[in-house]
Amino acid sequence: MSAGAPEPVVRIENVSRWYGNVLGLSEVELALQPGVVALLGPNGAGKSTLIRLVTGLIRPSSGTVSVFGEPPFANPRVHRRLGVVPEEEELRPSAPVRARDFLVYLLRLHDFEIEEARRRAEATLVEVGLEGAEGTRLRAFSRGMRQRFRLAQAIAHDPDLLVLDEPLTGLDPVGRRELIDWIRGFGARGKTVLVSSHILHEVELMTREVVLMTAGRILASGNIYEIRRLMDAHPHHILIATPTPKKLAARILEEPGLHSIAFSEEAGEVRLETREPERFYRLLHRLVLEENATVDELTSPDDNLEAVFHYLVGA
Amino acid sequence: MKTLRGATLVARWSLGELLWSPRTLAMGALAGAPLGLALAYRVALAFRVTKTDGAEVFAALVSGVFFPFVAPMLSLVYASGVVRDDVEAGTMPYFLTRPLSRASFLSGKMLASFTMTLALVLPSLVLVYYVVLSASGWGEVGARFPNLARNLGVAALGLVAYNGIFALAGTVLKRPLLAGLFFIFGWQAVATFVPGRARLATVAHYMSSLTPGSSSGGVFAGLVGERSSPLMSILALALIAGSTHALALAAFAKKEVR
Repeated sequence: MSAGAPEPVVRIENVSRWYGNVLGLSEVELALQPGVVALLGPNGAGKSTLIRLVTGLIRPSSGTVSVFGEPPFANPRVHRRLGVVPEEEELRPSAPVRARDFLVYLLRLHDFEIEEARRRAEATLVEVGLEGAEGTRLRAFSRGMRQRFRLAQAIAHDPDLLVLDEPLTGLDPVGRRELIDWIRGFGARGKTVLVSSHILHEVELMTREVVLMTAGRILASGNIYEIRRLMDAHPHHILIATPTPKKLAARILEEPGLHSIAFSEEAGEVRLETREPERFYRLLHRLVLEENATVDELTSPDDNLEAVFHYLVGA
Repeated sequence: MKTLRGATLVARWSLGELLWSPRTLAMGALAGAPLGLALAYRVALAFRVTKTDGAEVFAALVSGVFFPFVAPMLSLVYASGVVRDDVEAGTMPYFLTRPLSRASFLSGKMLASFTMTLALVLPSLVLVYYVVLSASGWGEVGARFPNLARNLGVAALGLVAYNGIFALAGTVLKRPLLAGLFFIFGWQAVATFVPGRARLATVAHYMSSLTPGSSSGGVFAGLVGERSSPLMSILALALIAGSTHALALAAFAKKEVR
């Protein structure tokens, strides 16, 4: 770490985790700064193991995990600043507990006085869209309501680090959109959010900072577009909508660095593949300005999270 | 959060949960079973089916039903769930990611389970005492009150020892109920009747050693044979209770939630 650089909120150094003979995580290195970071990977990639390590529910078999500079396992100092939406479980207390009462109890465990705990519980239940359901028993909650409650208990104490394991599961489209907006807003306040999900296009709405995992390893981490740019093995696709595809394709063919090109007069488009996308963006800019070429639309179909994920994970 | 404050919060919440949990109906019935037997005794007495003295019946109910069966079963059901209940309900990750020491959490849970068993066993014991002894007149009820007080003390001591054992089982074992049933009906049942020192590794032995016998000796003394001294019994129960609770806390401090 360079001098003066802020200490990461979460630091994972050479961490491996075994479950008996099964490897859950293998030599993972990761540092998280404030902002929203998405944890992506197929089932069994190690996302939940990583989240349990960060939230202090399990310990690493080797290596070190630190959150706010301390090991998180059974550490109340870390947990005071942490909010967790655990992996979806039943959340069905054996007794018929009401949502508000359970939330008040959890807030009391954060040392809030009873009046403050009640005030926060009411406000948070409204914030997550459970207004009117405060007195409903948790066991009677639908899956979507339970998911909203799981978020409520994670944010009611205003944590500095929020860890969410598949928080969009069970939510309706409106709920998903609200949660995505909320997560972005929370990250924008200088807080840290680590969110695991497999719904790629929704993750893309939350953040550009990702950690891609498979088979217990981190394949790549950082800005999704930066990662894509570095993936030389896969040429970048560029799609140009134009009324003169043949003429434009002929002009582009003169440029070096082209991997492949195809055009369709019917569809009015040119598709090209290149490992130097910036060169072709500049070329198109020049063609439009200097040679009066008409470009209706310019897109890069594989410059997104889904494409990167599929290239890397092979899923 | 201070350990004691946290434990108190957890205990109060957990007690409420236990009170409203479906199992409490069954456990209430179990704790009330000796009362049913006491009422049956009064009916039999009224119809002159039996002439057995009330004090003897009370001693038999204490040593034959309350201490070897009701007390450990209630303890097993409640104490073995101190960790398992929250794991099964999916609530454990919500508690273990709070700024609360694990010692506070488990202490609160164990206090709640102990309080719950105490709240079921002691009133039942008192009611049985009044129902059975009042047959011989209220004078007898008053005269034998020290006997009741001693039984209440033994019950409390035994329950705290069982609470520790089954809380430890609930913390470290995947199937604490099975292990507990084996302890109650396997190990204790056998060790108590086997000559030698095996009985010293049971709670039942020390409880029986402290149980005041009836004037005729009752069934208890005859069944269990040699007793330990009251002082040794109290110390042994306190040692079992202290060590098992401490071991449960130590195990829980390292327990992972997967």
